[in-house]
Amino acid sequence: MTLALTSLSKTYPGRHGSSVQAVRSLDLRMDKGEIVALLGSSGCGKTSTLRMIAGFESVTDGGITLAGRRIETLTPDRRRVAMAFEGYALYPPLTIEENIGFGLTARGLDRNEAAKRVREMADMLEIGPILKGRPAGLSGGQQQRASLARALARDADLHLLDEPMGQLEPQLRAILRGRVKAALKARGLTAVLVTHDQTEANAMADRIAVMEAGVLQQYGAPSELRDRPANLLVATFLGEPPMNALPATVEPHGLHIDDVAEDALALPGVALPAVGSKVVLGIRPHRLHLGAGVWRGQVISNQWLGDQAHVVLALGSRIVVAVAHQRVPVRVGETVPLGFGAEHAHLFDAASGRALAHGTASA
Amino acid sequence: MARIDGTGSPIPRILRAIALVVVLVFFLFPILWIFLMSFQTNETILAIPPSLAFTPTLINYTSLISGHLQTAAGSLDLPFMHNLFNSVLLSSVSVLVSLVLGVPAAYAFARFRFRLGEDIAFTLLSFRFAPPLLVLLPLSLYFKDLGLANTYTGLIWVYQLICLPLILWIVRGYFEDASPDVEYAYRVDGHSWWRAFTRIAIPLAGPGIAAAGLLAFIFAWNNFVFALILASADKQPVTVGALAFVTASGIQYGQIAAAIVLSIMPTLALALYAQRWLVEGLSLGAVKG
Ligand SMILES: Nc1ncnc2c1ncn2[C@@H]1O[C@H](COP(=O)(O)OP(=O)(O)O)[C@@H](O)[C@H]1O
Ligand SMILES: [Mg+2]
Repeated sequence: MTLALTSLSKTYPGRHGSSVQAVRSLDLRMDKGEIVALLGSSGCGKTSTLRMIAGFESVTDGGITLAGRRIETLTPDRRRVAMAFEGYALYPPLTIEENIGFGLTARGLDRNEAAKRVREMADMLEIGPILKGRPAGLSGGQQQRASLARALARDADLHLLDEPMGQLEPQLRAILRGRVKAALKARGLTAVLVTHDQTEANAMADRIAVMEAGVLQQYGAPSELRDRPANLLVATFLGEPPMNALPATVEPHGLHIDDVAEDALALPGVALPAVGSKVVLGIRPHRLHLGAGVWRGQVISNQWLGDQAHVVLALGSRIVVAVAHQRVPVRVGETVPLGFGAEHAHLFDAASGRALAHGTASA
Repeated sequence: MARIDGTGSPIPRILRAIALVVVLVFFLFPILWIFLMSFQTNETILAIPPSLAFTPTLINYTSLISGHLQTAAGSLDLPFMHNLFNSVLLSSVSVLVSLVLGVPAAYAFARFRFRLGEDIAFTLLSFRFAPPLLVLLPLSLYFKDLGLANTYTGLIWVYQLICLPLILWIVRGYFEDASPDVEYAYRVDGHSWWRAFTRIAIPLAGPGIAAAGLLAFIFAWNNFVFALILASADKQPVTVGALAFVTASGIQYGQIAAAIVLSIMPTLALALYAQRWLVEGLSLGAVKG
């Protein structure tokens, strides 16, 4: 274990005596050499968490241990972390090359070694041609890569990367994801990657911590988050399009979907809670199939996206989305049968959103 | 569509040139007139009708520099050069002290939120709009007790009332404009707070510091009432010293003009020297809005 956050909290004093609880009692542990993604929507406290680890924001409560040292009261220069800033934070008077090399010579790396490191980073992030330029003349994407290069060039106990590729074009982002991950792994570096892009988190991280409203929702490997989401929030946040969520009530013979005039569903292999419980049934869009099943849905739209079909249907007064990997020959307004395998069902408590049971495919 | 940058049709360009000339004449003519006056004797200045044709004379300058004022009633000793020296000394040391105190304070106000911070900053600013005479009466009494009356130290101290608020408020704006993340980026590279302040924050606020310093210098240079009341002749700056030109035998226009020319010089020189940073500084401030 190299980084441990224990009950970490951040409260910002607001105007007029109000306050913002940006991070609430966050517990997180990560091992050396691991890449962890902090994933969550904008404003959920990801940057605040990073800034507390780096020492730019004081810790309201809780502790931070890094490589065996308690660091939450140390000044930033003594924490041995490197950071790529959300706003780049390049030093305007210096060239990109100098910006990247700055921290290396300061840390005692000799000039040749530092120059070599700068070269490597520039090649990896494709900023070789702009090394002699100054930040003001560069695009956001170029500045962002320079900022990432500056962080990755450093040797540190922990690398903090705050939305390091948000400004890049999709194609370049896809290429750099792989390269950056490979570089981190090759050097055995430990990194916290902040992102609101789940593809990026899935592609780069060994483990993902999903945050919402300052609270850690779930922490685990990408496959675990996908197959066994801890609550409705994680379930609907991950996956594109989001998981279908249908409010339902447990009845003696199975699950009755509210507002859908069909018989109760028997869900073999799924442990149902007590009769009368209010639950939410979750089914991922690509697990819903058209043409067979117990439900009748009326097609609202049917779109072919080039590699998959998105079919939106009205199920009683609910709306569901189904994804298929071939074109689906259904027309708008048509009523079609649809269904799903019980092994792909997820059940959540209606009040708390907590996961109650997962189908056998998630085991 | 009308273009306001003057590259389009010639009519706006000509109008603009005329407007510029009018403004320049309005502002620069008095200075030019004084410059011409400083090379004339009282007789040619007062001649009726006034004439632009005269034989230039350096008599005004030589008498100022030698310290002997020639009047109709005879020779009068005039410590003008000493006054000028006092002005330079008082203004520049005051600005230096203000920079040393004000720049770190401005940084603190910009970067850290602390209790009563805004109140302290505002109180300092309020010194600028309190009438000087309000503070002068108690000050002159205290200065007598403290032995600061008629000392450079005492004057430099009160000049902080002029310089410090200016520097504090202008420079604070520049620090607030610069993202603290640039300093943090430097700090995670292993540098102390102090190095981030001196190596990153100050250079980035450089134009603002130059602009504020120059403004403070001008305000200090033009101050009259503090030195009039708190110091006697040998410590007084030119603004007060110039009173001596009003003599029993009349007003020495030529010498006053020469004195004005001489006393504009240091500020002008400083402004020209600082121009590079100044333009950048003032326009950055304008962009910030
Ligand atoms: N310096 C600050 N002062 C007050 N509130 C802040 C400050 N920084 C962030 N916040 C608030 O804290 C919450 C979390 O912000 P942040 O950590 O930046 O989220 P994220 O990086 O996940 O988008 C937001 O509501 C934001 O408005
Ligand atoms: Mg953020």
